[in-house]
Amino acid sequence: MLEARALTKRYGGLLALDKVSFQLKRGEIVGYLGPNGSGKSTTVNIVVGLVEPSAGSIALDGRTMAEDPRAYKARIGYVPEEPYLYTHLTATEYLTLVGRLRDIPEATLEKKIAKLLTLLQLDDSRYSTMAAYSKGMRQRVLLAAALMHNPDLLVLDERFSGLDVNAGLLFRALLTLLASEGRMILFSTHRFDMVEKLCSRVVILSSGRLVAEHAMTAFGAGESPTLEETFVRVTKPPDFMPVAREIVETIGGR
Amino acid sequence: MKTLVRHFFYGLFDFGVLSEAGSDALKRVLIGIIAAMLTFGLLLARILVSAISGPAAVSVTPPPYHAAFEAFVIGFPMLIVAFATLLVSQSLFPDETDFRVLLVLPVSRRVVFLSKLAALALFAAIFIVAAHTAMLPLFAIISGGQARDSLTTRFAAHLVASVSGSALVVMALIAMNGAVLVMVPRSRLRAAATAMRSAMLCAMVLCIPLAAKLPATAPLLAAESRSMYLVPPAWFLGVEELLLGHRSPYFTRLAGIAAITSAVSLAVAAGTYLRLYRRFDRIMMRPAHASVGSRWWNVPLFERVNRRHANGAAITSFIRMTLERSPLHQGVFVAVAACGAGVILNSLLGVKALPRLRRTYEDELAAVLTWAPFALMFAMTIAVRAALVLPIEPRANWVFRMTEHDSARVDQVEAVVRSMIRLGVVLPLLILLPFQWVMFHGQAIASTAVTLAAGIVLVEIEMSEWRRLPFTCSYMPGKRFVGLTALVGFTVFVVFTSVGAGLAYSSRMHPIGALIFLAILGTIVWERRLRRARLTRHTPLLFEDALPTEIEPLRLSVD
Repeated sequence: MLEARALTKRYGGLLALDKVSFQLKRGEIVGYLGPNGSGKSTTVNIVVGLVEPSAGSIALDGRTMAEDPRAYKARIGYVPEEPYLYTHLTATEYLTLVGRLRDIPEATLEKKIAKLLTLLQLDDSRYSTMAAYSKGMRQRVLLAAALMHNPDLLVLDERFSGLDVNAGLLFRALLTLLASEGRMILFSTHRFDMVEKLCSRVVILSSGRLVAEHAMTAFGAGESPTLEETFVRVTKPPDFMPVAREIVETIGGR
Repeated sequence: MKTLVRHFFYGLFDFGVLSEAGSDALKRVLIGIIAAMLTFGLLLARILVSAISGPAAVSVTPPPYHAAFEAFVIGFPMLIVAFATLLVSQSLFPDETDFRVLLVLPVSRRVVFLSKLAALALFAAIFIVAAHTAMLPLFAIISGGQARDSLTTRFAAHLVASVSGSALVVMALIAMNGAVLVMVPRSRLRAAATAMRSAMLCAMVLCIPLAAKLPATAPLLAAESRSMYLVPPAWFLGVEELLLGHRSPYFTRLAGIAAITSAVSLAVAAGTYLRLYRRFDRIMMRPAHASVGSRWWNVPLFERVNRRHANGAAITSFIRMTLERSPLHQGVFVAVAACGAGVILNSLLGVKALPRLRRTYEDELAAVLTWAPFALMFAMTIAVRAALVLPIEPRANWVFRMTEHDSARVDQVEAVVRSMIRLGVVLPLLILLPFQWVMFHGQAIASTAVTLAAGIVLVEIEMSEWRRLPFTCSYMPGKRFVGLTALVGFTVFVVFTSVGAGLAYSSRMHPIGALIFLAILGTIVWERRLRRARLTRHTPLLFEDALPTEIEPLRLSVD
């Protein structure tokens, strides 16, 4: 189980996260929702060990990251928000680099890479540098890199953009299967439809604070509000109609 | 169009690897380079004044001597402009991003291309003006005593000839890059452009000592030697003489070569620009099937990776692939390494018998060959370090940050040091070993072993505070006072090369001495390695470069 305990992060005077606590149990896919600047990426960066919290802690099966960072990081797979990769490398070279950094034995690594590239339909481009890849292809490489070491926790930061329909369907099936095998998946996104289709629980953040946490079954059944309605209620976004009207007026209107 | 020119002009200074702070620092460094150029010009003028007025006065007045100095004054700006143009050679033509971003706006292709050309012209003009300004005092001194023409006439002719020379350099580089862009398939374009850029950079650096020898070409000019037909500044010297009305057949031929090469360069540059203009979509948007991994030399035949050293192997192959494929990193490595080769070439060009010291030509040559590996190792270790420090795709470093842990760190830093020893110490020794063998025969073995050990000591000292993974940390140039860094570097160079050459010489003469030196140097290496491993285990890696935090008091008070 992943346990975030009162996570707080300050950047100078700015409070990006304010005592955020949540849990992610084995076999769960948790949707992590929030408007821009709500602290989603900061949480993700803390969970994957890229940023240290100003206060609070993160623990995986009761052991905090500070206790044994190596063991903690070895159990996490991460697909970042933007496909930041070393584009002068080929997919095979990049995956070999990541595999070695993750201490995967060489013989296993070679086979895994070959198989993953074939399954993710990157086989034809395996010898091309990733500079020539489309965004969708780069995302598939990142997914392969995140899964290669068979992680217990998969952290997805706004995936599924840039993927074609088939790849999107494959990702959904893959995530469902991974969760059914007892892996934990934290899915940070803006997309309600993906959360509704994939997740078993949702955590909503606003201005660095956790404002709602519900099981997906709580939404849209009978009289209960939908996820989107709940999101609007708890995050209290401004009324955008006047802004839209002003934009139309600014460009000249008709 | 003004906006686009400005956009392209600023784009010339964007190397894509520097943070915002790094880019600001780079601008300061560029301003510093221009200032250094002006200072260098004044320094040269000062040296020439001393040479002319000193006890062993050198005359620059007779025509061949004067012409040789003129060739130098023309050649220096050509070299500077060549370096500057090569530095921005990745941006000489509108690229795919320009195509995608600008052509969807109501901007015509003509405006995009003209703006790019205007930005390039502006960039070249800045360096042409700065380099010619730097040479102005020197020109005034060497033209001062000329009775044949008035100073104003000479100056005008010189300016036309010299600026034409610098313009030729810009055009030639545009032509070469353009030819590669148009002719090479896109799948091979990156590799071809990188290799060409590195080769040109290397050639240019090696030209520096040759350019410095231009004032000594007076006898060749006096003898109307054909070898000067291979010296571009001499071509424009011919142009200058022709403009001044001195129509000797020799200078006319030189001017003819200048005219032909300029015309060819202009035609090729214009032709490639025109072709790109007409078929921009086809050339820039050709599908890329860059195949690099399937080639046999990319198969790691000798890379035995066991699990204990997997992290080190990851870093080693990352270094190899980046230096192979990144134009910037390869360029920095080649340029700095070529500086070392240039210094050695300069020393070899200056080898002559010294009868007063009873030293023959062979003695002097042996001394240079003993010293050369140390000079080359010094330059190449700095070259490797400079290349490793520069980041590539800084935001992709999360994968290293995510997998960092204590034991991996030691293995990774060890891999960096090993790569540095291979490229900075073993490679230069292998390059120079054949020459050493021809000169010293079997004795070369002892001196090479000691040289290798000394090189490893140098690497250990250079890397003692190393806390980065190659290409992963943001970079801020010019953090320390450049003058102080240069002074420290020069001092280390002098000490390392002098002491090293002494050790190598003694090892050749006394094989037992070689064993003692090896034992001492080996102990130093062992001690440094232990210390580095301790430090690495307890110090986190650096992924964000920052200005030094420590305050250095000036100690102006007498208390």
